[in-house]
Amino acid sequence: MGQQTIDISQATSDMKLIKPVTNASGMVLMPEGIRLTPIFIDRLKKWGVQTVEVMTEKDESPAAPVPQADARASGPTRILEADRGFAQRITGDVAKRFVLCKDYPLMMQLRTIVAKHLFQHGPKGMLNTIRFDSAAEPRDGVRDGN
Amino acid sequence: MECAMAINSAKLRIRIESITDLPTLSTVVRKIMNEISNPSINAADIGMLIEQDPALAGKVLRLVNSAYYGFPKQIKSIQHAVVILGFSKIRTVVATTSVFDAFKTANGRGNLDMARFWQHSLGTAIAAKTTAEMFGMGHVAEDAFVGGLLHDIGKIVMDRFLNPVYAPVLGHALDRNITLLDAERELMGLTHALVGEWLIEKWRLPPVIVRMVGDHHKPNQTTERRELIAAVYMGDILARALGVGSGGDEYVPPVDPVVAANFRIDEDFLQNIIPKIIREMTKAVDFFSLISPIPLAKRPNDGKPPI
Repeated sequence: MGQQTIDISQATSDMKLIKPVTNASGMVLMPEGIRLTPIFIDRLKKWGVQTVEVMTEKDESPAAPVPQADARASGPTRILEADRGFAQRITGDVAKRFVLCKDYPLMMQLRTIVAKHLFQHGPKGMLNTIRFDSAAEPRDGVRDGN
Repeated sequence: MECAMAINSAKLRIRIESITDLPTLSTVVRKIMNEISNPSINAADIGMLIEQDPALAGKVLRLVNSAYYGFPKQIKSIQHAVVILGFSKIRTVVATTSVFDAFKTANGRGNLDMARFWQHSLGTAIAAKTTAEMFGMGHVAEDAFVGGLLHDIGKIVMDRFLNPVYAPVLGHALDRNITLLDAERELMGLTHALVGEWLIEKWRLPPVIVRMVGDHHKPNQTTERRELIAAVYMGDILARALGVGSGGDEYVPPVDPVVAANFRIDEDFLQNIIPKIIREMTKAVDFFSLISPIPLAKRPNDGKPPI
């Protein structure tokens, strides 16, 4: 099954929305990309949504390579030498931020997901590339938690 | 050296409220922020309010005529711009520009890196809005944006205007490798969330914003607007996870398991939301470059990751 519009009664949890669900005013109620878990399917039904545009997960293109440093990466990955340092830097920085979360499995899952996406996305376009020029200078140098 | 301060919260509130040069919002901005929640308000009324502030009116027109929205014909009237952008987006523009302006011109100098602070505030705003949409609260997602933008405002108040009190707290957080929130609780007995709530009340902004700022670290204890407050709570954690800016420390606190259970925040949720937030942040760079009160200089891409 590829991308298609289906009746909500046919929705299953291996499907993802490929078009956002909006109300009559055009406001996004459920964004595209969301996986249709049973709770979301139930919510759509309660809202009176009759059809949704979906794609099943097996139709998605193969996942991008996951940094080798992540021990939970599934399947063989091939990382170019130039990317290896970047991957290690990302993994290290992310691990440092998550140091308070070691006893929380959900947070360890978040750490993995974040590292994977930051590696895939690269440095462009994130808010950290914006510099607010007129920000007040700190009185005795920068102190921002580092 | 550890400072064992026991700061009486009532006395601190009196001190804060007696600061004469605390940032203020203009009457026009306050009216817009309040009136937009009024169900009987119309575009003409909001348009007339905006026109009372020429700088704000200029920003609204620049935004609506930008490539970001890509309309084929130039929009020349504020009222038309309000209809196109919608009330919620207007409130986002007004809130973002007025808060930046208020602190840009305010007195007081502190220790927080303001550039990184605003990056964190914007990152939290975007992440909170995305979280609200994922909770099925798309109709109030722009409220979550404003809540995320203002959630740490209490830190600036204390850093800039009560620096002798707050500097040791910042130092304690660094020394002990703990979050600024935990350092505040240990040394002050109150937090930036409460101070921020006082400022938002002083600014006479709508109650929903007061609650989002005041309760964003205690989503389990609130009884009203639970989803919005949880969205700001999660927005802060997710912005930290992505390493966007700094609110004074860069640790990711664990999500409260009760909140995770109540809002069904599981691995699926995180797999869905992280790429979404990254996409929204990429789009936001263009949006904020249009409405920023001052020129934004993009840091040269030196190949370093955004963390």
